[in-house]
Amino acid sequence: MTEDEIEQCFPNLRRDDFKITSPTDVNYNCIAWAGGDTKNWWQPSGAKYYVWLRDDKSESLENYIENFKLLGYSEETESRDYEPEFEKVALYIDADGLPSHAAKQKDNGFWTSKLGWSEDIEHRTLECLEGDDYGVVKVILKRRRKGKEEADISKTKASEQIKNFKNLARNTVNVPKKEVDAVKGQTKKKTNKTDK
Amino acid sequence: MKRIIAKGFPCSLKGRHFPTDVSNWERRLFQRDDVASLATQLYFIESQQTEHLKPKSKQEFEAEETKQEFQTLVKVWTKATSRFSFVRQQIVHPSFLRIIGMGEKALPLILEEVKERPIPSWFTALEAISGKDVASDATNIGEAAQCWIRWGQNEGYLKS
Repeated sequence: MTEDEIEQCFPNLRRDDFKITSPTDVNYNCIAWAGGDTKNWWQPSGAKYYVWLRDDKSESLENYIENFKLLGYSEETESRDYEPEFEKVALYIDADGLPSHAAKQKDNGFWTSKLGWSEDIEHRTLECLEGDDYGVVKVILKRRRKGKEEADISKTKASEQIKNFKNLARNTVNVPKKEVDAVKGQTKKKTNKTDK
Repeated sequence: MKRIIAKGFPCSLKGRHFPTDVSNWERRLFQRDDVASLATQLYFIESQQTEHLKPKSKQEFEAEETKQEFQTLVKVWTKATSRFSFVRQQIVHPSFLRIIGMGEKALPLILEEVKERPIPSWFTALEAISGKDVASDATNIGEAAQCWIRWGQNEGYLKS
């Protein structure tokens, strides 16, 4: 999307309030971006190639909050202000009360959002994106900002969590019929030998 | 020369037969081999330039029409939903539903889109139209796209 198109989509967004910070990338969405992942598409429902850290596959706001709690965003806050010791994630809900968007606060106090499968933008306030499409900000979660070493450890932990999720997905996929038959064949042979 | 070419020159060239309104001096000119050869080349260039004006078969015409309709729908859908972060929000748009409604003839076009830009909603459309779930083992969008592209090539919807 161009800046003009973005401005048209979000009536509360003025040209000075935002800038595009990345090209279009279809591999991740706003939830993944807020969770620090630019390689996967995060959503609870649907196929196994979507990442979700919880077993709950419902689209409820509660599920989204709990998902972010697994990343350490365990405290809820009313404050939209920048607090140097905290990292913040905001969850928007639409008119039906379903999660519609997530934004993450940057070190400079601005917010950053991935717009669907389009671009990332940096925006001055959370209100900028409120409106018909993204609804309103319902919850702001925060976690204590870590020192560089701690942050690196946390990053490793987060990627391990994603890796574990993927392994879990791999292990629960259907085993191809060929392999099942091969194993069955071996078992039969063994049984026959034992019978003899 | 152009006038004679326009009047079906290549047919007449072989036997050097000309349309009745071609003058005698033109006939004499075209009896010369070098002029005839030049005219053939000119005809070839001209026919290439006007390739798009040639009448199309019904099949070609329908394929072209389907492609145009698909591209228009994609454009509208993209503009309306690219900012939405969840597949559930993207697939309910009327243009997207219309694409699914196009059925099997949309498969090659969707697969081309997947090759170019694997937006997750396309996988939903492919599943809905084909009734297959070929990307069940994929662990990310890129892998899912590869699964569908391979399927498209095996089924003859995409060129290898």
